[in-house]
Amino acid sequence: MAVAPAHSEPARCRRNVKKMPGPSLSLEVKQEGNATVVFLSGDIDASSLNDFQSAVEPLCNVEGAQVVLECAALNYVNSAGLGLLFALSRACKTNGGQLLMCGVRSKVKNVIHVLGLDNLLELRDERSRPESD
Amino acid sequence: MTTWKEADSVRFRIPGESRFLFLVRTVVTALARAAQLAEDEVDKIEIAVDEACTNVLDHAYRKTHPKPPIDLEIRVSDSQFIVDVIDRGSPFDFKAYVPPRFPDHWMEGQTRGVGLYLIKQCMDEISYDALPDKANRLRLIKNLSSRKRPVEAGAPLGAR
Repeated sequence: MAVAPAHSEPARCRRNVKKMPGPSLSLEVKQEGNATVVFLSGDIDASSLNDFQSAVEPLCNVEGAQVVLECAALNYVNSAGLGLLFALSRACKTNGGQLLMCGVRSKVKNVIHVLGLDNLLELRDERSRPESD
Repeated sequence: MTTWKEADSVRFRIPGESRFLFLVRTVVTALARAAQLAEDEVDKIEIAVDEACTNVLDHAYRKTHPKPPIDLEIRVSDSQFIVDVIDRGSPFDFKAYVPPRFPDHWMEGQTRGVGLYLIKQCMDEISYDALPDKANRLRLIKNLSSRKRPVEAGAPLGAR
């Protein structure tokens, strides 16, 4: 799957990772101003983790990457998924950028807290709109 | 309608593939809700069971191809909600387990290795036993003191 590179023209890319009947992981990538917004829906577990990584990691390995994960529809993230999210956040920082997680559900926030990641991940209640919108 | 009563148990088997984890989470959360557990406790049980099954696939079955199935048995007593996760893979030295230290674990660049820690945080009791037939059983227990209200006999599955 091709994903929209950071700082490109507005683009959309949708990916569905269908593993079993019922909720699966869906990713939609949109460019909003200088931010790459990834709309996540469904579950990040052992079956969808690699697809999530292959879709989002390239976005973080761009100089000055501003990556926003819209997580309001993200129902579940396992521990390996949260570990990966921290690694992606570090990659963004290394490249002079930032990875934000917006609208994270309390269920996922609780796990973030238990794993000591609440001060290491950038969480926001809502996604701020780019000025160019 | 399927009902959930004390002393009932539900047993099921999934193939040793991660694409069936969603099914495990769906069944376990439905049964925990039927046992009248509070929603945040249902979430914890979902996480613990998913992590337990993921550990089986990633570790106990790491060198086994094709991976054997995973058996789950869920039951409720008058005081506990119990989930057994049974595998047929390499045994785990449960007593030698050293929990990770945060934030050092993450700052050292590790992204995995916290599943058992998370399971312990989510459940009230856990135990690990080797069974006679070369199987391993991880038992996860949630005390029912965190119930929203006493179980009503014949409460429908998924009732909140």
